[in-house]
Amino acid sequence: MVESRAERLAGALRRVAGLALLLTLPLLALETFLLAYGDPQLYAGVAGFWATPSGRAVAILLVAALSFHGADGLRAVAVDAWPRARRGGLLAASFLLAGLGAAVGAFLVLRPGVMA
Amino acid sequence: MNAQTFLRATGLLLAPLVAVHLLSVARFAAAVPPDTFLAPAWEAASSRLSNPFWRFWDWTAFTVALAHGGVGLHLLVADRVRAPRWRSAAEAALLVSLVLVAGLATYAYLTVPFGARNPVLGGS
Repeated sequence: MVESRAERLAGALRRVAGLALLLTLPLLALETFLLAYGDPQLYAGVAGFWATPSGRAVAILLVAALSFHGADGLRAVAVDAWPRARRGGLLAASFLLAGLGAAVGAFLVLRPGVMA
Repeated sequence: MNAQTFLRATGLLLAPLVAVHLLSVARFAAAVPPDTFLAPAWEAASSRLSNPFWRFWDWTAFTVALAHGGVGLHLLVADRVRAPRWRSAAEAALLVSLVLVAGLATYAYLTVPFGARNPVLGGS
């Protein structure tokens, strides 16, 4: 079955989101390395970025990218596994799941009590 | 196993690995100010990795995510980079980068000191 325009767009967005997520992995490795290095001030200097307003904005975007990448990836798996499934329905479900994940992520980043 | 099957399989594995990782980090981060979701305070982060379970969980999630991303980027390069020389150079750069990042992360996960006080459960 031929992919719809919306499915092609979702697939392209999934790749872009995946690339952004891949680029954050070296940063995660660096933060873990700083934990191993054993200097709390150095660690706080690097990891403290996430506590700044711009850091929180980036965190929300990253969690949204992760949520979309995961949800659209599950849609792709479902399309492969059940070729006769309603593809429009799967696409809508993946958007819903991605939105839900992004909302939970945004709540975790901005939840009450952490913005002082 | 071809690249697409590998991506599907690791993607399915990563869904619970990453979701549990993020929720666990959020729980530990909430225990020690400044409470930042993606990078908890020193005490919270080091005490979390003092638990061998979370250390192994994080290392597994990191390694699988890196492999998933590496194979995804390999497919992207194969799709988009037409000139054989540039493609070879991009593949080589990708491989070297992945090995370096995997090595740095594995070294870090192996050498984070044990024994930090646990701010969620108390004690050490």
